[in-house]
Amino acid sequence: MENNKLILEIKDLSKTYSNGVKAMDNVTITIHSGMFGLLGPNGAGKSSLMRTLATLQEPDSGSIVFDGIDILKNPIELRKRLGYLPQEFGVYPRINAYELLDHLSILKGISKKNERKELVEALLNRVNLYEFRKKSVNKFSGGMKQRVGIAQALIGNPDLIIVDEPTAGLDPGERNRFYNLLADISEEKIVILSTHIVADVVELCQDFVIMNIGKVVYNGTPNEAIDEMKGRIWSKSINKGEIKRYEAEYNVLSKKMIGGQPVISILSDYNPQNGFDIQEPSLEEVFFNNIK
Amino acid sequence: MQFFLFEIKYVLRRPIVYIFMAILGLMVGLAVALENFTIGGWMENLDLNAPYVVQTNYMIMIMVGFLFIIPMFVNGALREYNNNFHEITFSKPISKASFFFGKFFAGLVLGSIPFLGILLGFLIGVLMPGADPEKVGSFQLLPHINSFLIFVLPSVFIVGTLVFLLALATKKAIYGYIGALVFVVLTAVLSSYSSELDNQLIGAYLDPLGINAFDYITKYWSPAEKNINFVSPFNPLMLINRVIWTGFFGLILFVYYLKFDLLAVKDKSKKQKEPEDVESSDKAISIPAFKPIFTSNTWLTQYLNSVKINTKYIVFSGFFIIIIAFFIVQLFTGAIRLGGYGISTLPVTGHVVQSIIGPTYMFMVIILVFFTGELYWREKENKIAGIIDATPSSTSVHYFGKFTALMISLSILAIIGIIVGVSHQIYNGFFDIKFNVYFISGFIKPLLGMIFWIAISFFVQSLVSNKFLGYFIVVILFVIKPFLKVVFEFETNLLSINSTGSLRYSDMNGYGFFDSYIWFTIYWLLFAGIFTILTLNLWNKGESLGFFDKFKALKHRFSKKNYLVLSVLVGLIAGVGSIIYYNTKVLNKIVTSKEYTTDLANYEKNFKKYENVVQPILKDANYNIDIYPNERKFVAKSILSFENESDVNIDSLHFTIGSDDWDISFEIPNSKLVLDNPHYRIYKLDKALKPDERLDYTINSTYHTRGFTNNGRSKVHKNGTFISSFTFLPVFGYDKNAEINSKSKRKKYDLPEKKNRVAALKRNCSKDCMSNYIGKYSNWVNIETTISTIESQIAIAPGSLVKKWDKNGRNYYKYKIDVPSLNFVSFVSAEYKVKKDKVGDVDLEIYYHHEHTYNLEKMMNALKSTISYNSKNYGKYYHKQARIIEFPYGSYAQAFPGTMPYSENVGFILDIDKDNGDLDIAFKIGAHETSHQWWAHQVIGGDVQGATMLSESFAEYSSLMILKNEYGEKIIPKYTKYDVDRYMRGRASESKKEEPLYKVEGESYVRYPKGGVSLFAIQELIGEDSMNAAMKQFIDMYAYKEPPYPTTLDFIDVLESKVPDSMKYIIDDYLKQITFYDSRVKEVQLDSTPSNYNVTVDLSISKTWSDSLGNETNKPINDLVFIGLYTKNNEQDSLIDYRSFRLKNKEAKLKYSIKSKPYKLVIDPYHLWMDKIQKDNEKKF
Repeated sequence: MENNKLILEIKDLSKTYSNGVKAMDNVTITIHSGMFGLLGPNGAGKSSLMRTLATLQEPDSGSIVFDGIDILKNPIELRKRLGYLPQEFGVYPRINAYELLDHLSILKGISKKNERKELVEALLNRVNLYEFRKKSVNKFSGGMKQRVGIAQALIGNPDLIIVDEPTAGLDPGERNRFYNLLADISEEKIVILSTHIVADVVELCQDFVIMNIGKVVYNGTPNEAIDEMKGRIWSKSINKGEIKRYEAEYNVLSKKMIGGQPVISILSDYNPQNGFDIQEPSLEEVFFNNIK
Repeated sequence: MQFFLFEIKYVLRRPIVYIFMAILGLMVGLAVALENFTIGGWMENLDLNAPYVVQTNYMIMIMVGFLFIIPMFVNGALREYNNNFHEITFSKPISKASFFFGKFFAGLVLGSIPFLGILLGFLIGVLMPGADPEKVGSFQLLPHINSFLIFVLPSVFIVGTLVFLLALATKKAIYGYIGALVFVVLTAVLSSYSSELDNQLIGAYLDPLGINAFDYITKYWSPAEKNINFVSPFNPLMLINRVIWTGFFGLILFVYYLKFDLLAVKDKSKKQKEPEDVESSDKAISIPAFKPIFTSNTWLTQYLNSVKINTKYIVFSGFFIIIIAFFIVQLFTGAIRLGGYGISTLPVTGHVVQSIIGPTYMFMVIILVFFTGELYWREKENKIAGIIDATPSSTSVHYFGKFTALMISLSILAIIGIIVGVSHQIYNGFFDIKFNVYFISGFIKPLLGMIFWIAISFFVQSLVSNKFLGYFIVVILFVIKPFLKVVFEFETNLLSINSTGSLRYSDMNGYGFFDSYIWFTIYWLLFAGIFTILTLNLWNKGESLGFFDKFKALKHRFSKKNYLVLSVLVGLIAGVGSIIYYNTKVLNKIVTSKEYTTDLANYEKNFKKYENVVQPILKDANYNIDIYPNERKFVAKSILSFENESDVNIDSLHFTIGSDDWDISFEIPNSKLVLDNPHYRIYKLDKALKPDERLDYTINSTYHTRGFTNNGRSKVHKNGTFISSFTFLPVFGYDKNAEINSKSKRKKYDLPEKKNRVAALKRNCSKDCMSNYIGKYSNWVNIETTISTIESQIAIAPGSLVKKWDKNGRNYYKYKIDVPSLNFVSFVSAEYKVKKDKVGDVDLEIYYHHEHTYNLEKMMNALKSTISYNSKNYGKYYHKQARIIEFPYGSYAQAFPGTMPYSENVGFILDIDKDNGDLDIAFKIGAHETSHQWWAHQVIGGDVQGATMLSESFAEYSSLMILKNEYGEKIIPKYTKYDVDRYMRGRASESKKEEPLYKVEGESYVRYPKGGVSLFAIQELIGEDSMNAAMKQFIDMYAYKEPPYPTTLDFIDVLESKVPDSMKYIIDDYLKQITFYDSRVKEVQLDSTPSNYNVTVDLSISKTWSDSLGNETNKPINDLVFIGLYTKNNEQDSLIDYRSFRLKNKEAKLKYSIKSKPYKLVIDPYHLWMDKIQKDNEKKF
């Protein structure tokens, strides 16, 4: 297959909700095969972008082209090649995992019964839920449910997979297992992962953007981003009462508590002295720098 | 307290309470102001704001108000839980009582406030332009307060308790609504149980809403009482009912309160064990890379899958199962019992289906309203919408899948109804089961009718952003449908939501012609198509759009194909609509009631001046009738011969043409049409008709239903056409009967006030008594008929069959009447079997539909007994034959000379199990109609008040006498009990005025039940021989005599000569006055001696005379009272002693002895007195 050439081009996408909130403001991103991260704080417009990409809402202006398909004009064509895992999802009451995947396979166009059986069983095996296939999905734990979610997103061998904040509410173990699964499937496809957790992007994504208040504020690879910050991040342990003063004086990127003591990180192209130590930059600092 | 105040403040700041109040106010206001739209029990002779009208408005609005009451409780109960705020709120130091009762009583207050709208509605309604100021009584607050106490507060309390507890117990609003629905259905079941006369008192206690109790208390109220009286909460019956029910629900509320736990949130998912998760290994399982394939087959697979899962969802949901259960309960307890009031009908399929489809329709509507909402919002509510919407499945898959699932579920309901119906038939040993009728009337028709409603309900849901708002709008659509029809006078089904022509089944006529039904069904299905196209584009995919955004989105979502389909649909609607319009409005006519009334008013204004014009008298009539059942065509050529019986020259002929349905043309030699109004014509004779001169002319009347009509009906049926000469002959001269009687309408159309509906009764009535009450310028006429019909049918007209022949594949018959008779002639044609018999020289014939053999013996017997009894007691039967002829539809019988058409629903299919105490109505109707051959067809009253007493009351009396003669006197109270009730209820809803029997005008409750009972009572008092001697003498004086016709005063003169002086009071009491008795047994005592039983009874009697509005005055007592003593044998009461006493005082103590031991004593056991309270007339020893 020549999926390596897959390109998703998002151009000048804007959307303002009727309550006046500007969810997307001239968003332009080009995405290639592989895992792509969409990072941003809550309310940055990530979900609006994801939902727009999943053809679930229409932008006010702009265009989205996937592999030659204008998805705004031709959403059905995209949906045929799309796997989508929404931020939060539920299922019909009293439906088991097998029935759910079978139902969704039909909706995704797998019409032949024998193919569907093979596919659903493989998916259940793949996400390790085969032995729970007859159990009601409503009773699944968060991690299991999320695996059902990813399994359904894989139906029909999609070229574009969109997962919206998939790790919210998962415990660390579940999260790791979920990422392994994602990493496995991301070959030869575009997988877009939206998250507000910086570590997710570092661990998984080749490329990423940072969004804030509807705008793309950073676009690059995690490594580039960190490289840019090298030698510019300084940190210091301070007293609680001093935060205000430091904020006035320095470009404070983050405040953390370490052992009950505030530690601040600042951005400075030169050594600020004053007890600051140089710090190895992480994507977190990139993030905070861009959303300020 | 803080919850109570918070809740009330919170809700009162929102518009909802005021909206509800405004809706109620508007409905009531319009009902008060508009004459043709009423909600409560308003009638023309009541004030617009009469206390009774006020109270019935409250009573009915409570049912509508359920929609408003429920949210007040449910939303309050769940406010904290729904916002997930309860854990925070309840962690504050608040008491359970403060929350529970605070919320509940806030609901009670808020749920009651909208009903103040009714008060406002009355205040405003009486001031609105439509309201007649003369009909506005003084404003009284008390009826409103009392209605709040008996209807609003208890009902809000009861319904509120139910929904409040259900909402709290389940934490889901929907269960509150379902609970209320179940409550309504249960109440309906209880009501239907208590409709039978003997169950009404129990029913009054059983009804939690107090409606039956109110009806029971007021059922015999006269208009005068309704204008003044109202039911107070201290009426004992009402009080007990209200205390029982509020107490019961109060107890439930309190018990639940004790068990209630603020923080207990039921979470089902926590109860069951979660499956243990397992480590997901890195098993590199390759996933088959099946690519989606999209062909038309894919759509089908997806659609079928959607049908499957959605059907499963509906059918296994608790709501559906509950509704089905109630449907079955409703069918078994109420709907399917056929008949009532002592009469039952055989479970013929047509009737069983008819009784099933009402509930079927109602429950289908409940299911479709509920599930269109549930199905539309199902993915959203289960939070799976994101996934489903991102699949490449088209909206149509989901829409049609859900639509079909709903149709399948409704089919299940229909099939269950059919199964219940068939089982009912089999259980009753009735095996003539017609599955095709079940299929068409019980399955196809209701389901086709639901398609439009499903489409519009989905459309509404797709348009609004809230399920409950959607429900509300859909329910409103159902509610306003009849309202729109009345207010805007939409007489055409083209404008009345989802209305079609009728599809009626009759055993005789099958479904007849049903083209109107088909066309209108197609028309409304096309609308369903339009809603479908719109819904498909509005269907919520992904984001929730606001109302206006949806329209914006609609614009660009609409594809070329959509536009194409939409324009095709619009084109088809225009096409089908035009075809319907052409058929129903151009080929046929729809006369709105307004147009009709206007026509009548203009007719009276323009032509009343001709009322006394002298016209020649009809002497001979020769009818040539051709009936074409398959073409819905009836052609009558009437060759009539007249004589100038007056002493002046007649130079012009006057005709009133009532109906627009008939083409009527006149062939009057040597005459000129000088006035040509659609409803009135005058022909001027070239040469005036001199006294005693004869004049012959011909009238051609054609009825032809071309195309189809709005309601799908025609006077000519495929099998069973019955048309009388009155329908196609013009009325000679001015027709007084066409005048408007309604007082308010006369005023509205500027017509002078009219005191009586017919001319006043007076002693020497010269002019009015020159014509009888069924027609002017026509007395005793020689009648001959030549009638033809198609080969398979028999055609019948009154008289002896003179000749029969075939010509051109048609059957021809010639009938000639044996004695000059009233020109009131029936023409009937259908496929018949004939049962023949003879009594004396008279041929007896029953023409019946081949399936209806059930009661032929009884009907034949009625003919025989009646002719024997009446011939012996009154005089000769003049015709050579007596016929009963069955015709389809309706439920009445009519007597023409020697010929009595009976509706197929009367007599033929009655289920008469006399051993079980059923009334033999088939026999009674037969006796009544046959007695008309004396009372109407031999002696007929002049056209003044009281005329119908001489025919209807006399026939009714005769039928009671013939029953007595046939079955013994003991049978009589079974019939008179219902007669007394029919009379009392009839007068309670009299909208003009009630006349005493001898002046009866149009009141059917006077001339039938009261007339029969009164004449029977006189017969009991003076003896059968004396009574019949009077009647015989009356016949001798007036049978077949030329005018002047007799009046009731002439009969009273004859009767008085047979009444001893001591009993002269009965003439006043039974004939000349509206008399009521109130009798009561106070004490009974029984002492036994070795040979005798001594009975002592204390009783009180009072007698009142009422005026025409129901104002009563007391009268002194000097009356005979009948007292009966009963024993009990095998659970059956039997009368062992029946004697009369003369009472001179209101209170009396009577002592007498009898031989065998009585078990109870009854005053007036034969119900000869009109006594409003019957139950205190008896006492057990």
